[in-house]
Amino acid sequence: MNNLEVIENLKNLLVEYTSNSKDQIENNLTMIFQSFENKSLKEDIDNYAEFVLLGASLFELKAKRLLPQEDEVEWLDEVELIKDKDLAFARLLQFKAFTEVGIAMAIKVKQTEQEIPAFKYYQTNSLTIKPEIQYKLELSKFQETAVEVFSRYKTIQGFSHIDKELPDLQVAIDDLLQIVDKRLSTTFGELVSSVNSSQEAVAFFLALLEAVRWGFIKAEQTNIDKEIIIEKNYE
Amino acid sequence: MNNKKVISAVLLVSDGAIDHEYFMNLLQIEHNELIEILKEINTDLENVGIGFYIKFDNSKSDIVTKAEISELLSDVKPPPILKGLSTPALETLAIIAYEQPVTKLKISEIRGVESESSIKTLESRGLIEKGGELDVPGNPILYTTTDLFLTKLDVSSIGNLPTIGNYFGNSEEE
Repeated sequence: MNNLEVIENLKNLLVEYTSNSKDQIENNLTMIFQSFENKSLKEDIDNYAEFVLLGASLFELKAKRLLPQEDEVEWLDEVELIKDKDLAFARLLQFKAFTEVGIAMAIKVKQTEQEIPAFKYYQTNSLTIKPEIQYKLELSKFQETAVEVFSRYKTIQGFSHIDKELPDLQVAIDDLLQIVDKRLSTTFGELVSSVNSSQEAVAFFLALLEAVRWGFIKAEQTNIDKEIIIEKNYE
Repeated sequence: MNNKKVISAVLLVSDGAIDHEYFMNLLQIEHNELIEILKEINTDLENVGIGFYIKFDNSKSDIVTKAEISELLSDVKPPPILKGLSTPALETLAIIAYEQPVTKLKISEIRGVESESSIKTLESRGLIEKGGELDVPGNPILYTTTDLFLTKLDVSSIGNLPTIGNYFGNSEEE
């Protein structure tokens, strides 16, 4: 028996059991299968599986109500019993909806991309409305400023480091890990005792922070005046 | 005539779509006048059989190639923005588009699975961005779609996205 026959048989069974019903559940069930019948089963088996799932849930509810019960069970209690199932079903539908929407959006984007905007190799500022107040910088003045800056920056205090070759942070991290591997425990003071410049010390400190962040080592400083104790992280 | 020259030239050299307000201020013309000029330029281009036209809506315009020759432009056109995107990433994009601003947790809740990698992929493609933080403990990041997403979907604003029901208009409803 193929899938279509299974669904057809299930449909017939459910309709047979519900065709003479009067209450809300049965009405719902009949309504579902009326729309079910209007479909061609050959169109899309997945869509009908959803109908069957919904129908089966209602049928289960009806079956429960038909069973003899010791205590009278309220309709609202019954609803409460299948709340989780309803929620799961609602989420399934929501998820399926967004899947379909995502695919539809992809198709739309593909269509839009058939029209290619003119491509430029440079970027002009977006031609939106200019602000009312603009700072004017004359070309001649700009050139003067540029020449001055480029000729003087090396002599200006604070710019003297610009031409210096900076230490490589990755090398510092490797060095740090190598030292910690050997000594197992060390201090930041020991680490920087052999460096030749303050830049190298800074690189070691940055390396220390990176290595701690990645969990390779542990670092602890109990007080601002105390040494930073560095240990290999075995966790 | 001069206005046609200026508008077509600006659109040719500008990077991206131009706000109509820019043209209206530059040329001291009304909006409906501008639209008429854009239509005239398109008619001129059509008459001489040129492979591009001015695509415009009520707020902006840009020069684009004609869709019917897109197959022949495959060697020169930029790669599709959705190239290689998986169905989960498309789902995530749809959720962000319709639920924005939305947290990663909410996205994962709707999808029923972790959505971190899909979000990163969409962010790297420029389709979504961080649009703030939710004012609750932990301050989770809120994600929104970008202007590029709107351009690619050919809608002018989030408010103009089709309602979700429209996507199912032909299949489920009797």
